[in-house]
Amino acid sequence: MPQYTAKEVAKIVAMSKEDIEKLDYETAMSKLEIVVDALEQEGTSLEYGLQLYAVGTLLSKKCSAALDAAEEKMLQLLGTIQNPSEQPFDPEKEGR
Amino acid sequence: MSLLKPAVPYPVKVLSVEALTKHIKEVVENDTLLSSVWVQGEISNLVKAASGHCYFTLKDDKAVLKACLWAGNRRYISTDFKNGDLVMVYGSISLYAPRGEYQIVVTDLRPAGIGALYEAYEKLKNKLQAEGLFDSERKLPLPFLPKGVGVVTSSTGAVIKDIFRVIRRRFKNMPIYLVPVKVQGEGAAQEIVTGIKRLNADSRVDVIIIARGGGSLEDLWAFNEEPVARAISDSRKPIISAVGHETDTTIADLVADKRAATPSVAGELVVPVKEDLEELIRQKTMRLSRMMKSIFTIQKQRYDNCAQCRFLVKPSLLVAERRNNIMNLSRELDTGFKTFIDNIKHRFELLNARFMVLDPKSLLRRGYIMATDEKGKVITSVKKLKKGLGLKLGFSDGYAGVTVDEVVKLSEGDK
Repeated sequence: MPQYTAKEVAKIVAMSKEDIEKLDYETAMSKLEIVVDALEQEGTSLEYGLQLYAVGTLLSKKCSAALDAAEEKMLQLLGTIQNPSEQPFDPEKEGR
Repeated sequence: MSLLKPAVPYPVKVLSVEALTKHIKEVVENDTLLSSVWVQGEISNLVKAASGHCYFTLKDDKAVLKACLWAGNRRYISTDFKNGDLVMVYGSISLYAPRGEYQIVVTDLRPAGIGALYEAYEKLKNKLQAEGLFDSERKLPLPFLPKGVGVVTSSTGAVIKDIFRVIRRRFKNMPIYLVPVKVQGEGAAQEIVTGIKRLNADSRVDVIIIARGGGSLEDLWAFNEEPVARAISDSRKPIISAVGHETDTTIADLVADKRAATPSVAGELVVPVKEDLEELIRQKTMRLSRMMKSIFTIQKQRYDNCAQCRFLVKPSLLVAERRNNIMNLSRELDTGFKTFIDNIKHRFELLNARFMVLDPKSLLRRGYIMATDEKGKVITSVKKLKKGLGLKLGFSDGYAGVTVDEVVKLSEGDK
């Protein structure tokens, strides 16, 4: 489980949609993990839970989109590897 | 003119032949030049004695010189020799008194002409070594895979065929650029230098082989000349030399960035085996794809772990779970309250039962009688009773007025 403090959770909850949009995948992912953990924590108040849900949904969408883009790129690259463009070496030239 | 008058006056002292010879011997053998000298001539009258000593004369058109080679020195001489050979010998002049003959005592013998080349070789080698041209730090690394291979050698003969064959076998479509040159004789060195410079200027080439088959020192001489050494040293592209047999080390071999024992070895050094590389690339490519997929899978799993959180999938659970909690609690409250009431009831009944037992009326019902005096005070002793005293006897359902007839006090023992 991720290690985090209540203060960190509060910071994440306070993030705006624009803030989240600017995050890279790794950061968004680790924040999402914190949110999920906090959400599953017993003793989370209903109101705080709803806030966590709202920010968690945004983070999840962000991560999912990043993964989709990565997957598409990967499949593209795999296609390139499997069909490398044949670039012949210089035709044989002997002599001077 | 008189026959009787000698040209030289009669001597005061006459030397013996021995004394004179001894003097000459001393002069000769103490002379710096004569005690260590190289002399060149043709061998004749060669006698190889059973003892191992050799005797011969060196001659040229104008003079002869007796020579002897002692068995002890002969062992160190690698060159074989026979009558008619033109040789150069090293040794000292000595004088053999019994015969009045001088001769050279030979300590080294080499074919004539080679000596000059050897000397030039040694001189150039020492000079270039002092300049650091052979230093390993100066050696350029060979490219892992060259764009093209330049070869400086003769266009005919086995050497170029070997190089072509080996390179073709290892890397089929490796371009090879040959600069055909004379590899021996007049102008060979200059052609080799030009070849190296030309391939240096050729952008299609990034490694150069200079090669020649085996031969005598004279045959290989072009590769021992300073301009060739300089051209190799100045080359910005690495040069592999494959000159002569492995045992003949030329200056070119020493200056070159890499020396190959044979032209075939040069071919092997210059290009990797294409099939090996292709196999390596295949393996690396597969590994790359596998790793990329695995990284993606791991991240996907990580994401899924979060995305499957029930509150994210079904946020209504946030409320529903709490509602459920409340229902559970109110149910617990109900049962709890009922139990509480039951407990109280139960305790009351217990107390009540105990209380009922203690009630005096229940005693009266069981046949006991309660006596009171006229003031209504319960009488528990006979002490104050007298004959004729009026008492009231209480029963469970009423009372009766009576008078005391007799008082009997029980003794202590009767109690």
